[in-house]
Amino acid sequence: MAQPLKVLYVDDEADIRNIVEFALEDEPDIVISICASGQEALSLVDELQPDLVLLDVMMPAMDGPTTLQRLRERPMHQKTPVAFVTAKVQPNEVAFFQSLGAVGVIAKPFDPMTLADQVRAAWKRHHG
Amino acid sequence: MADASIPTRLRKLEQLRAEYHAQLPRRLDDLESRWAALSSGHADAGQLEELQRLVHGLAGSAGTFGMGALGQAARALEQALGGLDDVANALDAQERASLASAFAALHEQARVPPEPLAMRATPAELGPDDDENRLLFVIEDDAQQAENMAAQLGAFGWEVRSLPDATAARAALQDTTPAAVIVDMTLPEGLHAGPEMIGGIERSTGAHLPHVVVSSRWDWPSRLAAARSGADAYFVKPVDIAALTDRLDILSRRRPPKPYRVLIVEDTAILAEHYAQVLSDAGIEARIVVEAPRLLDTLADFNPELVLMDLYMPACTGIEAARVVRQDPKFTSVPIVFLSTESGRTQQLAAMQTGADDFLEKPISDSDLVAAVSVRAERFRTLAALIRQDSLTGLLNHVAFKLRLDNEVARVDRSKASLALAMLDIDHFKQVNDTHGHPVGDRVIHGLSQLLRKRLRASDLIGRYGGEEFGVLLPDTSPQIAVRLIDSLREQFSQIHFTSGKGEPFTCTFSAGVAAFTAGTAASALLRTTDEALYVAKRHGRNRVCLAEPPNNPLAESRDETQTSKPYDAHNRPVAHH
Repeated sequence: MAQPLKVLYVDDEADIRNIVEFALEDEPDIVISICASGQEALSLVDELQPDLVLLDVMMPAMDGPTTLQRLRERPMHQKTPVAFVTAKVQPNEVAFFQSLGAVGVIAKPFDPMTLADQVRAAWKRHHG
Repeated sequence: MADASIPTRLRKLEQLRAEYHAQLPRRLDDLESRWAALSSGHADAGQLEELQRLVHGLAGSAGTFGMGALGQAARALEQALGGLDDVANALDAQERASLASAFAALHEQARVPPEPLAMRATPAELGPDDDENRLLFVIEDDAQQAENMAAQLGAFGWEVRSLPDATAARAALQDTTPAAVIVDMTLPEGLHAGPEMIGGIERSTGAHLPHVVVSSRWDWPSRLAAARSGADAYFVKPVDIAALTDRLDILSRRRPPKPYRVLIVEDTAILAEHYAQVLSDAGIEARIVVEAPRLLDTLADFNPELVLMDLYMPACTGIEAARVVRQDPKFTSVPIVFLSTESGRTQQLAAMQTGADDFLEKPISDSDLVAAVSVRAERFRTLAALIRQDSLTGLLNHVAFKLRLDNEVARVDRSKASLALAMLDIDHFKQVNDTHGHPVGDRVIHGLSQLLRKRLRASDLIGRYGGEEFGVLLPDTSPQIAVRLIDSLREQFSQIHFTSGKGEPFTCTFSAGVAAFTAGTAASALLRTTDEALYVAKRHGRNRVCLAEPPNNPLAESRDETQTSKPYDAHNRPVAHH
């Protein structure tokens, strides 16, 4: 991978944001940006042009699925890959997220030491 | 995790978890007071939602911070709270009780510290041991080419399973994970069916399958197809097997380098232990000497790659101790780094004269210590390896091989164990160089060195003795076994197809002499006997192995080409994979 993967992570939980930063900041092939809400994410995406957006599902004001929907309303981001990070990983729940157009679901709780591999895998599944 | 070491990251993670654990009581108090307000009716639905969200956050983060049971307790509370849609309605006794017990469970779990990180297996530990996995899948529809490649890769210690098409390969990959896959670009299923099939599997499993694409085509669509499948390498047919095995080695190797060995000489035991802890957390092997007189034994025993020395000790100064280290010829070049509170230039200069490499001022931060030590130990190891190793093959060079041979002969003479020496020489090597050029000749030498490394045990010594001559020392090996082993190597080497600069395949052979050590023989005499046996092999037509008879007996030829046609099963013998 010549270009590092630009990843935007969106989660309202400060603890999770800290640990995601820890888990991904030292990866040479990943550049991580983090924000705390769907609105903030939407204000960042045009400038950031992420390769992958990771969304927490349950957030106040604007939840993950709504954020995805708003993102898709923008012509520039109709194809930006999005994955959900959630504890809801029952087969029917995963199927629901996929029906929204998510490229993957990363289960919470995740192992901080292997999150990077999961992120790469989610991206690879989409891009091969 | 390429640039930050795993131990460093684990320490940082440990710290994040400790911080998380420390703020839990405050966080739970906050949840409880919110709940108290709600349950006494002094709150509205918005506040219930806020509480639900906070509990949800706790449920989501606790597991990630190594507190899975807390996460589950929070999840249970989240569900209990989720059932309450309207706080205005009075709660019944049962609801109150179940919520109270959910809170109690949360408190209880919050007191349990995060599970220690060491006990949590990382995926690398859970995964198959790639050092041991020597299985390759060769997906190739041309039976002749598949067989040829299997034979050649087999010579390098790979176990090969051939698959004729994408359908068979897909089925085989479902229940077996090889160390790597070699896949033909074009299969019966289509022009780019090979990489397309692998790409499909990677997408569905989400995991990378190490694979190399071989193809007779060099056009853009083919290269693009291989790139899209995430191929690790692309080889054009006819494939240069030595280059391919080099690549496969890298793809299948996960073994971390050996940790650096650092000796700490420090009279304050608690400080010494602290340094040792910091270094071992960073993956460095540390040994402590608290009393200077113990230094000599530990030096010889531990063979450090760096000495970390306190400048002031009660029994002697660090400078004196450094002189003692330097007096041993084995340690004239080992880096010595002084630790001291002394910043005076006079003391430092005096220490420099003993060959001190650096001064670190106490107190030193953990990360500075690790950085200072690893950089110097790494440089020492690289230099030491350069001095010992042949630059083309990475094997022991002439001087190092003879030195080890001397040691080994002395050891065997004492212990009465058996020892065999073999000298191998590539046949008509000058012709290879003249016909194909030196770079191609180098590839042949490299190919033979790779083969030797693959097929011999870790305890066998392999040296590049001269231009195209190799020495192999086989401890605990009878002359008969040695001949069979070297002969199997001869057979395998003759099957390797090298590629000329023009892309034409060619093969090479070697001749070898083998001699057994007999008690009382000097290393130089053993070398001479082996060389004579090699000479006999050359004179009798090359591409054969000759065993030197014990002293005073004529040299006997043990094999000729007709006799060696039955392959020797080297798997009967422990083979070290490097």
